[in-house]
This record gives sequence, C-alpha cells and structure tokens, in this order.
Amino acid sequence: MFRPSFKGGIHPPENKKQTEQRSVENLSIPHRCFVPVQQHIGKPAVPVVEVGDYVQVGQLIAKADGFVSANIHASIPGKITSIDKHPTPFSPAGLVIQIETHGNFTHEKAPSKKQWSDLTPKELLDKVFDSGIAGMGGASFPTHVKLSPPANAKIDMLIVNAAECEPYLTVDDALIKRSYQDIIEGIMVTRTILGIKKVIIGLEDNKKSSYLTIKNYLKQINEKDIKVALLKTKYPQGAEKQLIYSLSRRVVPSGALPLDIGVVVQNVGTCFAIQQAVCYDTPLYERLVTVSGSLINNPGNYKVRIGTPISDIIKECGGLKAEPHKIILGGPMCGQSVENLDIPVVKGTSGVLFLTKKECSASRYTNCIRCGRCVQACPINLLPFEIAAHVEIAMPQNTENLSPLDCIQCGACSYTCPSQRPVSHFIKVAQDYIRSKR
Amino acid sequence: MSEIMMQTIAAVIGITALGTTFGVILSIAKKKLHVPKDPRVEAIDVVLPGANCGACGYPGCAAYADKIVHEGADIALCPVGGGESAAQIGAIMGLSASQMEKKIARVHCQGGLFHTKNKFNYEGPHSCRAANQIRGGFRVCSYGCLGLGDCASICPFNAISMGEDRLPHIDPDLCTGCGKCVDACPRFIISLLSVKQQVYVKCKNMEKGPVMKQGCTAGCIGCKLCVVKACKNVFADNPDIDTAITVDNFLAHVNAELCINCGECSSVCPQDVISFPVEVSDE
Repeated sequence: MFRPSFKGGIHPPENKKQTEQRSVENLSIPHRCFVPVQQHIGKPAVPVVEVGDYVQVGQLIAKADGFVSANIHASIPGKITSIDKHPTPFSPAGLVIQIETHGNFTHEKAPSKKQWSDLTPKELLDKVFDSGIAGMGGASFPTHVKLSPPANAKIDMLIVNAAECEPYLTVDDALIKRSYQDIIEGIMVTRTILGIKKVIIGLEDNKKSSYLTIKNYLKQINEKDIKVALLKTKYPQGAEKQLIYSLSRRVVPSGALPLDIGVVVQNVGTCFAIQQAVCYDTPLYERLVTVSGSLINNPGNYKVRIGTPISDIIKECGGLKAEPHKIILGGPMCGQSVENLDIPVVKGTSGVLFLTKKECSASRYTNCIRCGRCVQACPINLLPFEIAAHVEIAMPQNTENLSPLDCIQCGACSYTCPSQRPVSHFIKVAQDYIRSKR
Repeated sequence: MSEIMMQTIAAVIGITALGTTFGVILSIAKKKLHVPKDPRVEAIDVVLPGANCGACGYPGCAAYADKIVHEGADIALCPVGGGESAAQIGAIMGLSASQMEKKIARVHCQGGLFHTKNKFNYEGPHSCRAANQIRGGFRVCSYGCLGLGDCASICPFNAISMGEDRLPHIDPDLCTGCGKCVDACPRFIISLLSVKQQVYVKCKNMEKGPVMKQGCTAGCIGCKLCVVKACKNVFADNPDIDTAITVDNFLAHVNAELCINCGECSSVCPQDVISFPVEVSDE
C-alpha cells in the first residue's frame, strides 16, 4: 500500500516492542531535582529564586531572558539548596537550580478545566510563553517563537509530528493512546494562535492503532480540517523537513525555515503541553520519557518530573542488569550519550536508553570504500563521504561547496556505512568549522 | 620545371606569407593589448621563501607578492621569511619594513596523559575538533589539551610532534610561527609568542584549585605565589611597574610587555606551571 515518504533514509531495527504496549506509569517524585536554566535553544533563563527559598510545584524559578528563551518552573515542592554548575544534557557544566523536597506535601489538586474559546490568539500565546514550553520532540526550540511567525510569512498549514521514527522511543505513541482528546484540543489551540485551519497529523505506519484512535475521534467530533496521515516507517521520517515533504510535497529550501513555505511543525508532546498550559494553567514541569534499552529491568513509558537525575530513574525502573556501554538521552540516532548519572531529564528528553556494547556496535572505523551507501541514505541529498574525506585530512575549509550546514545530523550515513565510519560526526566537524569562520 | 618543384615553391611561399601575416597581427596585438606588468611582483616573488605555506593568508608566495603590489597587503605577513624578507620587500616597495619579531607557537597546557583524568571513553574520529564537540571533550578538564594531534597534523613544517604524554611538542628551530596550529586547536591552548618571551603559563584552566585538581594534577591553582613572592619583589625598585603577572579567574597571566624573562616566578611556582627561561640564542 502506498505511504507518503521522502528520498533516502534507512530502516534501523525498531526495538519498540519492549515499551510499545506499556501504559504510562508515574515515576515517584524524586527527593532532589536538578533543574537546568538552559533546557531550550536560545538564551538561558535567569534564576529568580535564591538559595534557601521555598518553592511550590509549578512556581517560576527562572525567567526567560529575551524572546528566544523559555521560562523554567519548579518541578517538585521544596527548598532551593544550590544554584551552581552541574552537568546537564546541554553542557558539561551548566547552571542548575537544585531543589530538595522539603516540608509537608500539599496535595496537588487538579484545577478544573478552563474554557479557552473566548481568549484571543495573543492571550493564548502569552499562556504558552508563561508556561515555558519548548519543543518536546528533542530539539527544544521555544514554542512561542515558532507560534509567532513574522507578519509577512503566510502560514497555511500546521503539521503535527507524531512520526516517532527513532528506534526504541514510544513516548508519542503512548501519549496519543493516553490523552488523544487533550492532544486534539491542544492542536485546536495551536491553530487558533496561528490563525489557520488546515492541520495534518503524521504517524509512521507502525502505529496503526494510534492512527485509528485519532481518526475515529476526529470523526466523532466531526472535525474535518484536521487530517491524520500514515507515513512509511523509515528513519528520519520525523525530521522536520522530511515530514513536511512527505505530507505536503513542499521542499524547504537550503538555509530557509519551514515557515518560509507556509508550514509550522509541532510535536504531539508540545501540543499536549500547550493544552495543559491553556486549559489547566499547568506549566511544563513534567513529561513522558521512554526508559528502554536491553539493560534496564523495567522498561516502559514513564511520567517524569523535569530535573529528575538519571540515577533516580534507574532506581525506580528496577535497576540495571549490567553496566551499560552507553547511556543515551533521546533516541539512539539523534540523542546524545551522557557520562554522568546526575544528569537530569529536561524538557526535550524523550527517552533514556541503557545500551549494551552490542547495541551500540562501536568498533574502529576503517577507510571509505566509495560504495555510495551514505549518498543513497542521505535524506537531503548531500555527499556525506566526500565531506567526511575532507574533514578526515584536516581540511574542513574545502567542504563549503558541499553544504554541510544543511545536514540535519540524522546519522543515517553513519548507520549505513559498511566501514563503520562516523560520517555524521565528520560532517558536524565541518559545520563547526564553517560556523566558527562566519 | 617539374610539377613537384612548382608545388614545393608554392608551399614555401604560402607558409611564409601566412607566417608573416600572423606575425604582423600578433605584433600589432601585442602593442594594442599590452598589459603593463609590474616588475616589482617578480622581484618580491624572488625574495619570498617559496614555501607556499599560506601562512600570510594568501594562496602561495606568488599570490602574496601580487597582493603586496596591487592591493597594498602588509609587507610583514610572511612568518617564514621573517624580518629579513620584510626588509627586502620594503626596499623593493620603497616602504620602511615594520618591526617584525620572529614568533613561535607555545602550548599553554602541560596536562598530558599522565596528569589528567578522563570523563568517558571517546570512540569518534581521531581529531580534537571532533572530540571537543562531544560533551565538551573527554577530559575532565574542559580547558586543556585533548591530545589527538590536530595541531601536529596541520603543521606544514613538521614542527609539532605528539609526545608520549599526548601533548604537542614544538620544535623551536622548525616552527616558523605561521599560526596554523593556533587556528586548528579547538581549545585555544596554542598561541604565538615572541621567541624572546620565554616566560609563559602552561595552563588555561580557569577553575578553582580543588575543582581543577579533580581532573588534572599539573594545572595552575591560582595561588598567586608567582605574584607575591616573585614578580612584586623583582619590580620592587621600579615605581612604574607593580607586577608583570596577574592572576584572574584562578589563572596566572604573564604580561609580555612588562616581563623581563627573569624566571623568578617559575622557581616559586608550586605546580611548576610557568615555563623556565633558557638562554636565548642570537639567531
């Protein structure tokens, strides 16, 4: 059966079986949280609390610094014990506000649901900004920036990204199964803010049950402008530009943004967070995380407070079977491996994976044999092997004509390379070099 | 006359006529389309060392000579030829050669394999720039040398060798001060200093002593002994200068303009992180 897709891409083992069928469980509240002030792309937030202050859940603890930044809220009630450097997913020593649970728990009452239909788009956007929402798919771009396109941009389509092409991860799937009604409401809020009607939700065809759930619900509420589409299961189907191409056949030109061709892409998790912010005034202080990999005893999808250190997640999930070769935050293709168990979960952490050496399949790389598999796999039509060759002989200045800056760092080239060459890492070096020269 | 003779003569006359016509056209074209070539370009090209290293910032010596004459490039950009070639170029161009000291690359880190600890095992490409992208490098110290030799591989004069301690060692005789290693180092631990400047700090770590010592045993702890016990005493008689060494962010800095290369600071440093001066040769 025909499923829309894009050129290139790879088919890594999905490894979603272990967590696919698990419903969402709440992780118990950690006794200490490390909340980084930078959990988004842009300027770090500025702390507005001091050491020794007592905070409540959802209280603002760091304020957005400028437009491209996001608010940070306390994820547990307690006392601020330190504001100091600490390893975070963004940097080996970033500013972190440490909260320790303290005193009695005041029971968090679910506030009653609010009507948003009479609010103006501006008021809705302010609520999104106040709640500190940043893209939940992994890149963590502040959502209010995406939702306030420049006046000359003609946005006509909202694409909701539920493709979840990364192996292991099942958070988006679990979220749809659990709260599809809230997600649809969040989508409606988002399109009201953008002032458009047309919405497409894209899922890979390995999530058929979620697709049917959404489709039936949309029929039930008689909503015709929101469409849901099944896509071919192929990595990187969930990458912004590839998803846009698959669903709308529009191409984002090199160096341009999706809004230049009239599209805004949001992750389902972000839509859910928007709904929570608008309907329940709940800021973003917890998220769903897939805990997986063959070394964790109880893999699953867990609701985790932002700032929970990895060590607490290991404890809560039944411990590890053996020492992992790599611990990865996010998916295995685009995520990053971390070296410290005190590193916290942040707004963009969609998964925590504990992988064996075999799963990482790390071995010494050898020379390029010019087979061209990376060229076939590259979803943006680069020549990865050629960029890598220039970087390997320490001449990244020669790569400028090969446009390494367009690389989305999906890692398909490295995955497919028979010589196990870290091709995407070489391209990243070229990107770094070219950016440093500009 | 036989027919063959006739044909031969016709051919000779024809070729001669053709040659003469083209010769005339070419000589007219030479006059009409003459491009005046500056003899100074050639003269400068002869003076330049011909290493084509690109350290001046232009693609090769001929290009540099051309830029000097036509675009007024600085005449003291060639580190290989040094002051001598600058003076000769100055004579050709009728400019006074600006003072050009011979510079040499210095490594501001001494935390090699034996002094530093690693945060994790790095498995990526064998390049410092690549390693530095992964969580700020695999060393605990986020300021020091990563030891994968980007500087050594880019040096056009083979002046840098990676020692057993995985630190770059610079051969002062081979180093021309072209500065390619300075650009190649992602941690900015190599700088160009005057050959005469023998005293410099071999550390870039700006953390407090105890924090720094978690990752490296050979770094600057910011104890200020070099300032208090050495440098201030040296300049005690001089009312104009207080000290040539300052300690900011738990890291000592040597002010090259004030330093007299006496080496007192080096002898009091408990971490042995200030280089010890050796005799400067006349060369």
